[in-house]
Amino acid sequence: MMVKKIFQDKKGLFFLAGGVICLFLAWLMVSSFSGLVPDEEPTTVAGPLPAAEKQEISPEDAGEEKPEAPWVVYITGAIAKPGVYEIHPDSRVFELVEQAGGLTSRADTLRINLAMKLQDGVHVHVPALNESGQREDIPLSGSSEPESMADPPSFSFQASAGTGTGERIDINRADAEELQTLPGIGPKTAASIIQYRSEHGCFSCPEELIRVKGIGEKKLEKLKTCIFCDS
Amino acid sequence: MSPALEKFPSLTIFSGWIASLALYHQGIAPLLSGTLSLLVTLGFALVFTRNTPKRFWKVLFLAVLVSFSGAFWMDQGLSRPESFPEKTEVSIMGTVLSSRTWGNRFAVVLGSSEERFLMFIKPPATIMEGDRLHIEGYAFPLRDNRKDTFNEILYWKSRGVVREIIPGRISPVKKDSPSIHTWRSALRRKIDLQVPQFLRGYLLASWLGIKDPELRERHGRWGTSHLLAVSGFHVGILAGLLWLLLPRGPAGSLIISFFLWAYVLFTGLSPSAVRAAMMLQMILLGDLLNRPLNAINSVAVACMAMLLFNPWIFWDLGWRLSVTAAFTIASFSGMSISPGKAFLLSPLIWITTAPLVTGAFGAMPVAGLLINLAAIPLYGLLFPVFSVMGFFYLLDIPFPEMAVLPLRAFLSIWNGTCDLVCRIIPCQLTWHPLLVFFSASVIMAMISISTGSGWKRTTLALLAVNLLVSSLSTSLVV
Repeated sequence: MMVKKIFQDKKGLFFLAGGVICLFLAWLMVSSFSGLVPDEEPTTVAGPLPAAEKQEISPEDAGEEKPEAPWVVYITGAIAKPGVYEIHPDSRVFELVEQAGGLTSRADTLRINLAMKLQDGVHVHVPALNESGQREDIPLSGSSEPESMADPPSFSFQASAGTGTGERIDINRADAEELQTLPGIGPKTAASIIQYRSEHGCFSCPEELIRVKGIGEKKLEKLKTCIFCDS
Repeated sequence: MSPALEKFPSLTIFSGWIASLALYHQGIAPLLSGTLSLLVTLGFALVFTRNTPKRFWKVLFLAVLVSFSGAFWMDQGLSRPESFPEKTEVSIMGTVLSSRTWGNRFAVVLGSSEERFLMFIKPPATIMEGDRLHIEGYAFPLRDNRKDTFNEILYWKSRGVVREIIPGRISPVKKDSPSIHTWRSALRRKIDLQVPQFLRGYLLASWLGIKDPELRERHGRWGTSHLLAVSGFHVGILAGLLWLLLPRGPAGSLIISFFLWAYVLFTGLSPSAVRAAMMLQMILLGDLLNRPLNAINSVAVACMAMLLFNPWIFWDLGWRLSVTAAFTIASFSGMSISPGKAFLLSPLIWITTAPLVTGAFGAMPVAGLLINLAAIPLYGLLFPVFSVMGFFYLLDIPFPEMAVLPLRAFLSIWNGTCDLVCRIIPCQLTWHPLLVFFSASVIMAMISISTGSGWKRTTLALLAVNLLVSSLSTSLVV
């Protein structure tokens, strides 16, 4: 009876205390929860950076000054004067198009990004509408397997480094030694490629290499001209 | 009854859900998630309780039950293992739902009849929203390309994407019939071609939710990027204008609702716009039924509905910013502050959203604190003007070029002034854990004051909430 009376008199205080206790319990729960990740020492230890990996550092990355020589670029497709042109560095596609006499009436203007920045040694392909006025297949940029598609790659980095032997390597069959002959691939990345292959099966296309740990956009671009997949 | 339960019961539940979702990445089990949510809801409700009227225990029980079951259900849905194989050969037909620049590539979301896919395309191959495509390639589960705090998987999952495609062949297919995506694409093209540069970026942002890179950079520098993201600000301007122009009553409310949702749909269904539209829809309904709703409760209900529909949205930065700003506005409006002090709202929003902005981008310009004081009311007036002028350009209605000169001149002065303010106040606010406590304290204090609680109760509530926030600060921001 007395407890009830005290509760009635100090109801607000009891609720406040109850609320604070609940929030405190919630805090206790949150702070004591360490998650599902076990608190164990890592089983793998990172080794020293392999020498081959250092090849990735290009003069650009190292901050060396680039010579201001004109860029050489190749333009094909629905363009007035297709061919190889010299163009000042840091140009964009529209400047190249202007130099090449402009787009033809068959050019599919939706499929070409005229504002895109160019690079030295690239190949720009302007897609055309077909006879019925419909669009051609969309060329996938930078693919190293043009024969498998309706069109050649619209934007390929031909100036990328090669393997040194001039031969392409089948990334589905190459062993670690062969893979290490590729630009930017050291023993660690080669091992990652082989591990990926054993876990996920053959590579379906060269672009799938990007899913391998240690291979990023830049490295893939360099590799594309030196590899192929025969699945 | 407890002022919290009486005025905004949904907020007590929503706070529980936030706490449990913040722990998701640490692998919390659904049962624990539900229990945590229950404790936070109960704590939040009880802290503001002073007496127990008739329905108190029933409402409290219901709130706790919804809190537990909602958190349990969401955690179970999030933790469900994906049944997709590592690699599948696919040949699908789909519509491009969105296409945006992603570094030096385009990130394209493709919607098929069954699921949404993500694919990356390199320029110059461009794919427009609304295109119908036939794609042959390989599908993979989404990858975590995290180099910093930004988690790509969460970003795409909050947009309903389930897998990534590496395409082998992409063929355009003839479009079946016009859709909202083709209309958006057509309008974008028309704006790009027909609207002058000074107006183009603002129209793209407010009509289509597309950010012009130059404008984005400029507003980012000023700390006013929120003006370019379709959110409660834009939805509010539209609803406010219609509210003023249309007669009150069921017909007026119906027309406002129609335009509200049409606008949100056309601007790409951004989470912040959907949240604002849901909230305004509830207020409209409440007005029709003669049951005015509490603003805090409306925000919480809208957020809860969105979380139940897609819990991944919790990790969408736009949604988080919009929710934080909306709670700041709602709790500020509940404090019965004189209209003369309304200017305080802008700095308050700046403060409460600071941990989210600095957590995502590393820093935010302090000049934004000052610029936003003028920018929010100014752009509230400018956006309708931009839209009217946009119609003139798009419909090819002739008008003297002289008519736009004052606007051009004004914008030029405004841009110069903002740049000057940025030069005078060049400092940046960088991320610090204390920002989370400060933000949580400001919102909690305003909510507490709006419930009529005394300073002792408010202080204790602040301490308890900050204790909880101390364990969750990083998960709440990143």
